[in-house]
Amino acid sequence: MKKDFFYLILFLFLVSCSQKEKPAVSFYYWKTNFSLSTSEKETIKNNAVQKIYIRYFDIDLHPKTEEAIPLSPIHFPEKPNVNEIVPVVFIKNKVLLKENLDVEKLAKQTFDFVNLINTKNGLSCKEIQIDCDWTLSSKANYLRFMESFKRMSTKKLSATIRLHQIKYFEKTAIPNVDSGVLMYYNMGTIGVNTSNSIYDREIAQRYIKSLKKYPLTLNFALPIYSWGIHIRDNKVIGLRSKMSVLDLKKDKKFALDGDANFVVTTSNYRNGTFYKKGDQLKIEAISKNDLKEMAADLSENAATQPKEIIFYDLDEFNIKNYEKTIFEQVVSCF
Amino acid sequence: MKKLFLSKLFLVFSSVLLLAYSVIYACGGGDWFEDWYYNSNFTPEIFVDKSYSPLFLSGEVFYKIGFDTEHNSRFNDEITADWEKYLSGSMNAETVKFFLVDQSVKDIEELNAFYVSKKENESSKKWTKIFNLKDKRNKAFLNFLFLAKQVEKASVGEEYWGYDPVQVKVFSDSKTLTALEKEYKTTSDSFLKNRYWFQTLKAYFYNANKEKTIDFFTKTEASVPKNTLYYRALSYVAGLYHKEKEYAKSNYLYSQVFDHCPAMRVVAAYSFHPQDESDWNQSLALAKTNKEKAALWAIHGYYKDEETAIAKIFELDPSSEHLNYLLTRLINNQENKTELNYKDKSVAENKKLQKAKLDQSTFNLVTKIAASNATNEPYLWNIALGYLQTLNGNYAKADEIYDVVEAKLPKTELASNQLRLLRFVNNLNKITLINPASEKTILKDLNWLYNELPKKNLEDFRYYNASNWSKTYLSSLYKAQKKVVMTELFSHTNYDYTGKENSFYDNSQNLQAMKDFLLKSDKTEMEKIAQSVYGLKLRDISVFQAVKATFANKIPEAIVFMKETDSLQNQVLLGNPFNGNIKDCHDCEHAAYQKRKFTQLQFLTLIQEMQDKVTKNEDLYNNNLLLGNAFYNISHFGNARTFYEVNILGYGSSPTYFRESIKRMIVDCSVSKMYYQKALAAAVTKEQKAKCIYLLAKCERNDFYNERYYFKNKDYWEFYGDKLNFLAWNGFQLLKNEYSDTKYYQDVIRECGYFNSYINQ
Repeated sequence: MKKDFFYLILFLFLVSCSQKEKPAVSFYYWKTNFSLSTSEKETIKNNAVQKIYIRYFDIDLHPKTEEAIPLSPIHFPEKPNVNEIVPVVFIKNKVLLKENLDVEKLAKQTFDFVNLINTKNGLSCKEIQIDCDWTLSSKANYLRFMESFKRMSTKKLSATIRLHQIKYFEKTAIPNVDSGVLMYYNMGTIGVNTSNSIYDREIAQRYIKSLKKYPLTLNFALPIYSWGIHIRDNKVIGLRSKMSVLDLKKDKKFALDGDANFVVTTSNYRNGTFYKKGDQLKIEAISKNDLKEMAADLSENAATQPKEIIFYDLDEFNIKNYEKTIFEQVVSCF
Repeated sequence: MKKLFLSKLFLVFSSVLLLAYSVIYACGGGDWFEDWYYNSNFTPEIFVDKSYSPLFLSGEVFYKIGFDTEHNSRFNDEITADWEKYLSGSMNAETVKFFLVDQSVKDIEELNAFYVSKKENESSKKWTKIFNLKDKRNKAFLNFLFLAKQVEKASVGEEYWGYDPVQVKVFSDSKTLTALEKEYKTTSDSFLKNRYWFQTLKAYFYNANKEKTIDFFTKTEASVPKNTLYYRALSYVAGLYHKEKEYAKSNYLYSQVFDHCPAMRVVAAYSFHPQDESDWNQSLALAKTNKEKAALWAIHGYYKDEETAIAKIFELDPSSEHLNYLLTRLINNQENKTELNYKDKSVAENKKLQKAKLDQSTFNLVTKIAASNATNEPYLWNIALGYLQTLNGNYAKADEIYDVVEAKLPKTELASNQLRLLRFVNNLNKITLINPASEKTILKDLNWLYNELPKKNLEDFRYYNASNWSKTYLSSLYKAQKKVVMTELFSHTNYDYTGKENSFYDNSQNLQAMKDFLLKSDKTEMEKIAQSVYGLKLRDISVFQAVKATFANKIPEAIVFMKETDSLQNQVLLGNPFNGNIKDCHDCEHAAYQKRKFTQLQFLTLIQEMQDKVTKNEDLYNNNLLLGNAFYNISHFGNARTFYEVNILGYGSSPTYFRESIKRMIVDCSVSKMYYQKALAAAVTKEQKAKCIYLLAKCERNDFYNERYYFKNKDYWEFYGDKLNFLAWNGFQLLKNEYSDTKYYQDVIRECGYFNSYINQ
């Protein structure tokens, strides 16, 4: 009897999650033009979204001069109609690995460029986020960059954090920021015979227990994107964004082979990509149940209740794969 | 006209660019792109015009360059040359170049003001000394520049760290536009008329006026020479169609640019993007002639179905130059399909595999086209067919083809190198048994490949694959013939710093056989070549023997071997190898002041002296303690790791980087333990005893590490994340219970974190 009761509790926990104060729903916006479609606007309204994290630009090395340069800065054909926007700057790790990098100068350029974009578009922000998958070899430059950036900026500074950085934080270090966002995706490797590279619970479990010890306040970012891994002659030749099983099932030039694998039956062009007969497409996507499982696992292991759950990324293609209440359902698991 | 051209197109397609970037980013560190250059025997540069080279087969978007980066400078040279010619006699080349491509805006504006107002200014005073300001052509040039620079304000992108809030800049200066069009209509000079025509179209384009741009183009194009300016204009029109989602038209026009304007091939290929089957078919329908259809297939072939593209082009326009670049992609693609594996498979099995992987339809197509002699470079098809015949196992047929093709090849070093390389690949494939007769057929080529080519600076010539493959092939043959030394000599294709591939030397018979081989003086030609490609030298073997003898505590033997190692014996150890510190910190010990430094040989000689003293019962405590330290320090835990970090053993900060036998050897502390125990037995004072007990505890701790991590090959992270990294070793207990009154005990508490945590438990 006692055992049955335990299972009942567990069952209730898994199904309804908890009744604590829910985190807010936020989104990442990762396109180069800020312009929302009707369904994207609806999603913002229906979920009372207060904050959008907008990718402002990437920083990469110039292929010839090896100078750090901003890539594809955002444009705002329309102004974001939310309470708060958070500019996100993605810095490629190789920039920080560059020998003799003038970190102070780069931090200044980055900060000025964010401000320039804000000024020219009549925007303002209270927080800036730096996204970088730093490694042990780039750690020193990364930490110095964050220090310099924080010194220049009077705004709140946040950073994205990867799973391995949680587990080995004593080694990988914690940047001097006000809060972090744990990116709960991109866990596996992209390959022909590998499991879902976006989310793999088995991999996540290896790291998630360390959340309780992690000393930085965290919010969580969850994936709602899907993509196709394009395979030819048993080799991965590219990633095709915005692809779903449902879409491909409708296309007669692709034959379903297993749950989420397709084989190209006739060579063809599709959305600007050429698919050769015999090519394979492995679709990786995140289901509603995956999202709830992530939420339950994170909630169970989190040191403190997150204030926000940020979904990656706000795009009508992603949204249409889920029922309308999905975001509410997921945050209520916390 | 610096930065004159494509920034708008660049912006129009930046979403495409971003996608491509994001793909590469998403695969960050992406090891799934093959290293095409090093896997190939077929050098496309030899046969194909350089305007195609970014389109050679590659894992990157564009071969070698990755992305097109010449948006703003592609035509600088051509424009400068055109104007220099036009102005020759009126303005010197240097000045022409300054006005076109340097920071000349201020000068141009002031000169314009001078022409309008007739009032002298700084620039007019400066330039009047250099050229005749009243010359008609000079005046026309400066007037043209003044107007063109206005358009450039909209066409040229910002500096990298600059930002323009509008995604696409619009040229809204209608006065300039009218002036340009007026000049175009009124000037009778054909050179100027052509350039004003282009600037007018460009101004309309940046004016974001699609209808007027296309209208102007349609009405005037018939009267315009079909030169670079024409195709640049055509690209603007194609870009507009793309923006309006009229992909079929846009792609058709881009194929025309690809066909006729070599400088823009890379741009056209990048911009060509059929969205689906129907717009691709519509593009084909728009093509009016076979040549135009062939151009569409030529650009389509870049998007990876070379074979169909070749077949179609051959039907439509067999002498098309585009066939050549597509053939190189086809052959390079075929090369990538075969993954040979001589480690687990025999030479014969690999040949079978190679044959099975040869795409029959590719083979048939190349055979058909080669036989037709209808292409513009028939020898290219023949040389490609010869290579495919080799892959197909028809070596005699390959020979026949190469014999015929030789006389028809272009007379360049690259072309003759290519033929020689393919012939060599064919010849080596013929050999299934190594004997003096078969050796003779490849000796010269092996020397050429291994010893002559690397000395020449041949950037494009792809011979690395043949070089590596031939070594593996030969090694595999020698293995089948049980010739261990020759097998080993040819097996070192990739240098492995961890030494994991050197297990050959763990067998003493092998080692001796190699030593005998290296020492013998009457080597055959083949043996000389084998030795020349081998990465290890006699001294590497001797030092390996010296290190192994040292770890086995056979010091006299070690000294003999060490003396055979020429310069290696004189290498200086980084720390004092006779120190026994409380904490293992080799960096600190390397940085510490050292009165006397020791070479490897001096180190061994001193060990020998101490061992002699121990035998004679002299100063047993000190000598045994120092010997214990010496053996401790040459282990992984000590300060003299460089003692064992030599070629055959390997290099690496973690023992798990080394092969099993070596790993076990370098983490073993039993010899030092034996000496520490002897020192403890000879110790008189309590301080001496405390020291020995602590040093023994360190060995105990190392054994714990070995069992828990190293013997299980656990990686660094598991080590790092492990909570249990401390045990109450015997030595710690003894020290605490019986030696807490010694000074050494206090030192240990101060320096050793483990011990400190033990006593505070």
